[in-house]
Amino acid sequence: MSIDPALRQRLQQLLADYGAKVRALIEGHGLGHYGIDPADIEQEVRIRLWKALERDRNAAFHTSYIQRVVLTTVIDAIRAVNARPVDPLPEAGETVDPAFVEPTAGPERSASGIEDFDRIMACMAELPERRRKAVALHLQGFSLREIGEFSGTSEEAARKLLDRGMETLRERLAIAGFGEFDD
Amino acid sequence: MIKPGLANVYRRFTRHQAPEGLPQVDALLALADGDHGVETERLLTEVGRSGLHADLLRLARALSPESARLGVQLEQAFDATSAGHRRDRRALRNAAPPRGWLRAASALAAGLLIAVAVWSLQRSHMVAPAAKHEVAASDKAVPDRIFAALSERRAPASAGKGDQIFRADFKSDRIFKSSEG
Repeated sequence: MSIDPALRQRLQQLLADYGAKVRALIEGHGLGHYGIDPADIEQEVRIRLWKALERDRNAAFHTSYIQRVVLTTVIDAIRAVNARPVDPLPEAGETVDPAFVEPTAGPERSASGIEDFDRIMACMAELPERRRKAVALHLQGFSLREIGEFSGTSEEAARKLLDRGMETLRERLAIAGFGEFDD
Repeated sequence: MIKPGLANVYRRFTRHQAPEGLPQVDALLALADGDHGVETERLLTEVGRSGLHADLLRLARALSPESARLGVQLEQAFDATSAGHRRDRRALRNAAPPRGWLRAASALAAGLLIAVAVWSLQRSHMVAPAAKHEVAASDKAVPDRIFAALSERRAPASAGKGDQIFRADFKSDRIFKSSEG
């Protein structure tokens, strides 16, 4: 598709503005912690959207399509980071880093607090499923409105699930000797 | 509701946990839009257990208004360009009306010329065979007596028997000759 120069300039400006917002959102949501470079994501999103415009301009007008391009770019980048070769495994007889013992562990897992986390997880596992989900989403930072929306319930229903779940969790943690979380 | 300590510990340790791998984009978008199904339920469980999933879900929701705005802006940019092109073409047409008239007049004149040419051709085809037939017939026929009579003096006497009126053994009117008798 041939795009006249004035339109090309306007489209590139729009994509540049959008790319900058995407970069800010990635940084603001802490996705840089996963090893991706927000500047790379911004650049890649702009390239992919431009190609989409050249291929089929109507497709690029859809909100879900634009969101899909960004999320796919981010997930691809995270996948690429995870696929990077790690340091070679230690030879026999060498001291083994605790991180290698637990395959799903992050770097902080070997640090202090792991026992607290394990205890929290154990107590949460005893909660009824709906309350456990509400508590988990709350601890991940989602609002009552979001928890209700994700769970298909009203905000009020989500609040009740969360209140009961947190109450039970506190009781279990207190019994287990971790009452300091309630301070 | 709960002291930040608990949430902090929870997030810190779930940040690098992705039990079921990376999320599917379709399910992520569906959950961000508030849709409910088997996939979104499964993903919601993962979001509770994985900080990465939770961050991606938050990003998906935050992207929605900006993406909608970009979609509208892109559409407007294309529409504005198309409208500009339509305006330019209209202006061009309006700015050159004589050329339009000239073109119409030329077309009319060409049409007339073609019509005349066709008519002439047809007419010549109709006239030509008749003329040929007449020429052929005249070779055999006795020349027209009326016109032949005019050149009678030049024609030989044995040329034929001409018109009786003109070739009759004409005798003078007796009435006029009675005076002679």
